Amino acid sequence: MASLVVNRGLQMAGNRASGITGANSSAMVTMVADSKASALASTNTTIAASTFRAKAFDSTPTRSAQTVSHVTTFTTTQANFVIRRLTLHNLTAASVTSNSSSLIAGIDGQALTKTTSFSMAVTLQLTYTSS
Amino acid sequence: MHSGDTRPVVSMSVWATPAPGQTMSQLVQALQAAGNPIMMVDGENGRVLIAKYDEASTNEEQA
Repeated sequence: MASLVVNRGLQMAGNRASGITGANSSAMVTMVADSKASALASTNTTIAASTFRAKAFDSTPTRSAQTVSHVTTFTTTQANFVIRRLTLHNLTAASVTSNSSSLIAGIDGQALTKTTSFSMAVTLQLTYTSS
Repeated sequence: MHSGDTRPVVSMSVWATPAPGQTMSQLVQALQAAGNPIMMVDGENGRVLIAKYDEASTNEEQA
């Protein structure tokens, strides 16, 4: 299992911090659960997954010290498959596709079986310091 | 973990909450039936922790 901010995510953070507009300067607004078993790689820009569910954050992300928290709740009817990766995107949920260049960061190597029997609240945190 | 990187750190927690009308006991049973881990039952807040990842803590534990 690994966590990773991909290169595209680092570029987005740089763009937004320095007020550079244009491509890849939009804020993160979406979380995606997908079923792809592959590990995230720094050069990835898309999820390239055939089974996924994209959903907007529940509310505006919050920051405490150097850590920003993003929360999305998948209801009983959503993301009902084996979830292997959870990722953040700077594209609206309706626009995220398997091949949309929107990937920022995420966690791979999961094996969560989501069913209609429960809802699932996922918190993904980005801490702006190296590990 | 991607060793050698000096990137921001991503951490995660996943909490399951009951479907409407479902008790906490039924939630735990449903999670177990689906093969999900039960990492912590938070009865006070009506939720069950089923996944957690914290790279910083993992590194400390490995150090």
